[in-house]
Amino acid sequence: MYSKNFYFSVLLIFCTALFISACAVNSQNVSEKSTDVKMKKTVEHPVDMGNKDCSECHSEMTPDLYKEWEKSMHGFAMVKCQVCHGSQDNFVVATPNETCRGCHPKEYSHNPKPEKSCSSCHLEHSFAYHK
Amino acid sequence: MNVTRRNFIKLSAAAATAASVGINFPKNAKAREDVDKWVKGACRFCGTGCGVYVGVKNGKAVAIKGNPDAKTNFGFLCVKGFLAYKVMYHPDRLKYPMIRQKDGNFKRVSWDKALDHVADKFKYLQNKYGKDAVAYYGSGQCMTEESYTFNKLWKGGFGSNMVEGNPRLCMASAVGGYVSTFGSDEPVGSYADIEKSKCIFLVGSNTSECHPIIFRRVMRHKLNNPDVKIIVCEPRKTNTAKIADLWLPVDPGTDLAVFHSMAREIIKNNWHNEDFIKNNARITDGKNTYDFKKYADFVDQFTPEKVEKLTRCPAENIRKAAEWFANSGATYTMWTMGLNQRIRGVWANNLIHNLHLITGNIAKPGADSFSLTGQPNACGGVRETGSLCHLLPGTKPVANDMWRSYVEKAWQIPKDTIDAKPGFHTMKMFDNLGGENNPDKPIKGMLTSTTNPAQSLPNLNKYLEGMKNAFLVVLDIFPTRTTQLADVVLPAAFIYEKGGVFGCSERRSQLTEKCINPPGEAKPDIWIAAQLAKRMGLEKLIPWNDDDSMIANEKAWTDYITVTKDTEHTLWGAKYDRLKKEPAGLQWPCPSIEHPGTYKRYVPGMDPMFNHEGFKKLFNKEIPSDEKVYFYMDKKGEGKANIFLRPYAGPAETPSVEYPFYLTTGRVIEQWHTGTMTMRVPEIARAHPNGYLEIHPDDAKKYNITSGDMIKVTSKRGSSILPAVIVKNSMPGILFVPWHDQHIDRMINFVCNDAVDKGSKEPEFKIAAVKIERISGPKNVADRYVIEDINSAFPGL
Amino acid sequence: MIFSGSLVTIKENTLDDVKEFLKGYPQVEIYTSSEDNQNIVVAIEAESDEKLEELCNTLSSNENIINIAHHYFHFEEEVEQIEKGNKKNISLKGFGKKKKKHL
Repeated sequence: MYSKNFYFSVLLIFCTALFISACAVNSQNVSEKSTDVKMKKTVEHPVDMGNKDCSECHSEMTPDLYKEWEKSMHGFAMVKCQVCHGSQDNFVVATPNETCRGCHPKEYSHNPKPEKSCSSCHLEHSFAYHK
Repeated sequence: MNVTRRNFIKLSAAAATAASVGINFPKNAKAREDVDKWVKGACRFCGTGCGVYVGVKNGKAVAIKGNPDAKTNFGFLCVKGFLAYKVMYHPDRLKYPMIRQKDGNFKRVSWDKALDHVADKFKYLQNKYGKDAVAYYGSGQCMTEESYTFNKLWKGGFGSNMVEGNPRLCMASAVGGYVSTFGSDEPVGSYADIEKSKCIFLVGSNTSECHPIIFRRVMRHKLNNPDVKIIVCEPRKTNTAKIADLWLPVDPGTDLAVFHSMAREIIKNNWHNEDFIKNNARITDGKNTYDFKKYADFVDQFTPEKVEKLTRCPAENIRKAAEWFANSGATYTMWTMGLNQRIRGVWANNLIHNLHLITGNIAKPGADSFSLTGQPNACGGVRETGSLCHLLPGTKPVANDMWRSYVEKAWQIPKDTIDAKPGFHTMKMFDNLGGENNPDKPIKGMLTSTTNPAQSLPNLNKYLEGMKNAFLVVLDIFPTRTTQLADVVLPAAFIYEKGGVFGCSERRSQLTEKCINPPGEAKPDIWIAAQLAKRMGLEKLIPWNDDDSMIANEKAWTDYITVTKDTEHTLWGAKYDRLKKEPAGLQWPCPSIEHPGTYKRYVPGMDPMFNHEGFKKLFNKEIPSDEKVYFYMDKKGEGKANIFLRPYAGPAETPSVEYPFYLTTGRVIEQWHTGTMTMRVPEIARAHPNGYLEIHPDDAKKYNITSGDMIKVTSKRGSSILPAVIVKNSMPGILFVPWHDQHIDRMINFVCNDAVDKGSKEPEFKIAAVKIERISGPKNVADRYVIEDINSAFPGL
Repeated sequence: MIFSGSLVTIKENTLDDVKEFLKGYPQVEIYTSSEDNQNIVVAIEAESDEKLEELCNTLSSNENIINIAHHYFHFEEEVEQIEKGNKKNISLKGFGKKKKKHL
């Protein structure tokens, strides 16, 4: 009854809406900064990493973040993304405190707020002392 | 004040108090502790010697953290140490002894069968072809107790000096440098000098990637003290140069000219320390002694301008480096393979020591000529136990009659058991390794542990056939290129599964306690050695046949420190239970239980050898106590170090018309050596899934190469095919390849040069003349290739 | 109100007894102890420094307690009160010269 064009337009609008909402969900996942240290569960890295090193994509996709890291103590010491965030099968967005403990055992054991994540006070990526 | 704030204040108060006196503040008691216990140990990887705690839960290693009390790393770890424990549970771990069958495949056998087979074969070969027909090739990654045991078995049991180790390929030149300059191996000072120094000279070392935790200390020191000068001298402008105030670029192999030139500038400007030279050094060419004028005249020819032409290092930079070096007040130099893996490695070491001696930058706080060791236990396990073909425990030569008798007595073996003639150094050993039907190869059998010569030897094509034909017994934790050539594979235990002592670059011995059991039927090397000794009738020599590796280790360690207790390397005060308690290990010389270990040698008051009666009596030393600095190991007995007149010499190969490029090889932070462990850790493999060829944009343009193109790099000896990575941070004409890739196409040691230093017998891995050819466009080679199947064959053999 | 972070040093093998004893003082909260069991890390809440001193004297009367050392003080509330003008007669006891001990 309705023209082909009409159906096509509806389909297009529907798909676009779907796409937009998918993007929104995606970006929400990626930008979600959980200060809850209990979130140790691994999540899916939004894109298949393939065999790429994290920096290959992130130096272009998230350049500000990447530059921030590069100029930080972790950047100088070459503590790269995967050290804190894992690889494809054990990827975490919010690094659990136990990971920080690996190189910062003294601070970990003297943490006055152990239920909070280290990064909730120590800015992630630039690692300034406090927010 | 609300309740939460009150609690927060009290918690902060308590936490601060605990921190102030070093009491561990437990996590919120409500939170679950993720480990049952933390076991103290050392890191498995580089020569920094980071202290670690391994977290054990339900008998498994589940976590690792730095030891904040360790004097090496202060609690920090690099990515390798951090992720090391993942290596232990990898499914590729070798679990059972295996013997290769006639069809080429391995068959699992019992330990009894495997050990009897090896013992019988060794006995047969020794009886038929002589006591030197079976060799041991060990590693700077074996525990000290293991190396000591195998060394004792071979030299004291078989009477054979065919004992070598992979430190021959990395540290031998540094040993040669220390022994010829100071009379004794290993550094004068410690890492602690970093934080006291005013100028740090990093030469022949990409510290930021190869000794990252040392680099962290240098970086921190510089950030806290911006006036500290950092000079980096390297053919590549690596990540290390990020903190440098001055970069001295230098063509590979030409740096001896730069060091001579620096000396020239120092003398010309009167920046040298005449008093120090007069009191504490002599000028020599190895045969004769000269006055200082001779040295000054000799280096005068190395004007910065002339040297710039030779090395491509700008004259201005050389001048500035000389000025900072001489006038800082406390200069600290560190180097690794860039100076050692050279045919003039010993000379390069000597020239660095020269700079420190002429400026008096030695034996005082913040100043030292410090060789960074590559492997975690090259110092402690191989150099100090004398597990090289020409040495005995205590690092004295086998040729030394007095010392040979002394060790024979200590080992309770008949006089003249130990051969006075040195065995073959590594390259010669592998050159003489072959099968029973190779009459020109006198070494018919070999036991190798914790190293991978079928990938790590230079000029691989020359040595692979020999390894294949010989009776090769390999102790390892994973299948490697070397197990592909083995006749018997014995599954080994990892450091945290057996425990033992590691001695790092700064003369510090640290004990790792056994944390967990090894997988399957894997065993510690020390048990394997004791079992072989028993089956070959030498149980009396190696009586530590215990199933408990820590008990066996302690017995071996006690045996070792007893033999060496009156040498300048004494660890007599480092008994096992003391090492267990010490939070930061102990630096030798440590002559007694009360002695805290030695931060700086050759300085009375700091170095206990000045008052060590046993040492002075045994070696007939008269050591004055009124000198500020006294090099008591001086062969001439004058307490002086040697400033060497070494001529300039370049590398074995320089670019030619046919081979127009320099190739240099090296490392990346994530990967360790041949990548057999690190390539199996996902996070690490992701960072460097394959080897590659770094090339300067100008050179790339000439050859029409764009990033990712597959390049064939060829030398006189062999070739490799690698993807190109275009980098601006080097000089044109220099190519770089990291050597951690075990894929047959990308194993760069096919290309590297096996020409050796005449003194140290260390090969020149760092320099080869090569040509390149663009083979194709980019290919996906990011395959993180590892050898998984023990039955896989070595391609082409 | 002032808070202190303090270290209670005790005789060998008396950890449990001392902990039990300290339970009777609600102003004292125990956090942890050293590995050798000779030092206990506590936080003490007291109305004033005099009261803190009084409390510590009382605690020290326990024969198993060798010493109480303060490492950390938090006195934010006191400062607020002083600024508001609520504190009169702020005692400067402790700052004056002590009488010389006659030998």
